[in-house]
Amino acid sequence: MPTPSPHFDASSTDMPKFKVSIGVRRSRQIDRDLAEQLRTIRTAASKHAAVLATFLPGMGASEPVVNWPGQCRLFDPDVLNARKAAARRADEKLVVYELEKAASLGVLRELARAPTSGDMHALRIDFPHFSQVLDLMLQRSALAAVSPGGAFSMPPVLLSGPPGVGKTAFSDSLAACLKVPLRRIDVASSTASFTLAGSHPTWSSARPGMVWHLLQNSSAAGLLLLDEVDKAPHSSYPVLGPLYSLLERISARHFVDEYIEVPVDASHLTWIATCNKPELLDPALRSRFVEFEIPMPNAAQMVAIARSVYRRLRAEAPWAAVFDAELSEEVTAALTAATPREMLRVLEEAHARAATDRRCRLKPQDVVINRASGPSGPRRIGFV
Amino acid sequence: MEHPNKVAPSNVPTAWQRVLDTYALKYQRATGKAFEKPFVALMNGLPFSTVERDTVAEGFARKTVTALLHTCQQCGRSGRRRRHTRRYTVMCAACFSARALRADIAALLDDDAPTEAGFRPEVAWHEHELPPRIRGVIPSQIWRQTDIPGVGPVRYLGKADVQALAVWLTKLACLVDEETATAGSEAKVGAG
Repeated sequence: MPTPSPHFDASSTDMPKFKVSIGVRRSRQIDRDLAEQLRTIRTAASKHAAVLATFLPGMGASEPVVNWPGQCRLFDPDVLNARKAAARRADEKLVVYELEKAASLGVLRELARAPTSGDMHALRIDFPHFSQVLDLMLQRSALAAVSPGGAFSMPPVLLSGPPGVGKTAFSDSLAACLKVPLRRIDVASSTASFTLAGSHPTWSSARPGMVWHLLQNSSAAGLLLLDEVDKAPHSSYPVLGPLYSLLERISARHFVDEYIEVPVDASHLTWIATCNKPELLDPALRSRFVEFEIPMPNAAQMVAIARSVYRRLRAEAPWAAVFDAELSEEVTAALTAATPREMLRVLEEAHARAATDRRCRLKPQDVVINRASGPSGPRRIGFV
Repeated sequence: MEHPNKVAPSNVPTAWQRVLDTYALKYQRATGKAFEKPFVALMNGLPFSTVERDTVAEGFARKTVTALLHTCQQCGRSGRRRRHTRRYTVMCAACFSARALRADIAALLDDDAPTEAGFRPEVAWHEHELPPRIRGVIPSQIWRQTDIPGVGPVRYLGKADVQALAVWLTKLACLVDEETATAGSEAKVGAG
C-alpha cells in the first residue's frame, strides 16, 4: 500500500524546512506580481497624467494640518527644527536632546478626558468635603461630553483651608482620575522662577522648567500641583512669576521655556494650587484662580474619610492583609479626632501596637493621636 | 486546410484560442486526425480536459490545459490563475492590474458604506490601510497629514476624500485597461 507523501502530510513535523520554503517562495511570487501590477498602473497614470489631472479633486497637503478630536498641537515643527539646528551649532547638547525627545513624541498631544462616573463616585466617597470642587468637575464633564473628542478642561483651582484637610491628597487622586501625569512643586522650598519656566542656557546649571517637562509625554493636560503657594519665598526671581502668563489661556498658548526657547501650547495644563491663607497671595495672581475654601470635614464626613484612608492603607501596606478588612465603629469613632493628614500615620501606629500585642483586630485604645503641635501652637524649646 | 479545432468552445478568450489551435494542430500532425469534439471545456473560467479513453488525445488535452493555465487569456503572455468576482481567470500581472484596481476601488467604497445597523466603522483610512494598488498611485499632494502622539507623522484619507477620489481612480482603471489591451494586441501581432 503506497504511503502518503510527507510533503502533503499536515501532521508531519519532520520536514518544516520544506514547508517554510514553499511559503517564502509563494510570498515572493505574490510580491513580484503586485509590483508588476503597480508598475502597470503607475505607467498608465504617468502616461495620462494630463487627462487624470482634470479628475483630481483639490484636497490634501495644500490644506492645513488637521487635529484629531481631543488633541492639541503642542509646537510648530519648523520652529523646533530651526531651534534644534541652532542648538547643534552652539553645542547645546541638552537642548538638542530635549528637542529631539519632543519631536519623537509628535506635534499633537492628547487632551484630558472627562472622568468616568465611577471615578467621580470614588472621589466623592474619599473626599466628601471637596463637594464644591467635585461639582465643578461634574459641570466640566458635561461640557466635555458635548465637545468634539470629549476634551476635558478645568480652570486653575485654588484650594484653601486649614492644614491637613487633604488638599494635596485630593490633587493626587484627581490626577489619577483624569489619567494625566502629575508634577508637584513645593512653592515654599522653591528658590526661583527657574523651577517653572527654566533658566537661560548661558547659566552653567541651566535646565528646562517643570512646565516643559510636564508637556513631554503623550498628554498636554498634565496636572501641576503648586503646594503652599501662600508661602512663596521673596526673591529677585519670584517663583510664581511665570504663573501670571501661564494661568491666562491666551498667553499660555505661546509659553516659552527660557532654556528651550520654543513656543509651546501650555494652555491645556490643569493647575491646582493649595494654600492655608489665600489673603497672602498677590490679588492679581489670586484672581486667576477659581477659589474653593475646603472646610474641615464634619463628623459624618470624617467617618467616610477614615474608612477611605483605611482602604488605601490596606491596598498599599503589605502587612495590612492580616488585619480585619473593615474598621470597627469604635475605632472609626476614635480616628475621627485626627485630621485627614494625621489619619494615615495614626492608623499605621495603631496597627503597630496591635501587632505588638499579637492581635489581628484594632482596638480603640490603639488609636493614639499625638500631635506634635497642638492648637496652642508649637512647643517652645528652652526657657519659657 | 481545415481548422483543426473547429469545435472548440465559442466563449474561449482569443489568446487562449491560439493555444488551443497550436495543440490541436500538433495533435493532427502527430496522429493524422483532428479532434472530433471539444477537447477542452471551461468551468468557472478555468479549462479542463474532456477527453477520455484515448491515451494520446488525453495527453494532448492535459498539456493543452497546463499551457492554458499558464497563459494570460487577454494578451497571451505568461500568466497565472487569479480569482476575480467569484470567478477564476488566468492573466498576467499587467492585464490583471485594471481588474484588481477596480476591485480595490469597489471594496474601498463598500467599506465606506454604512452597515445594516447604520454604523460607519471607519471615518478615515491610514496610509497602510489602503490597498497597495491604490496607495501606490495616489499623488502625494492628495494625502492628508497629521501627527499621532507616540506614533509620529502619518498620512491618511478621510471618507469624503475617498469618495472624491473614486472618479479619478475609476478613470485610471479605464486607462490601465486601455493600455493593457493595446499592449496585448501588440504582443499578439508580434507573436503572429
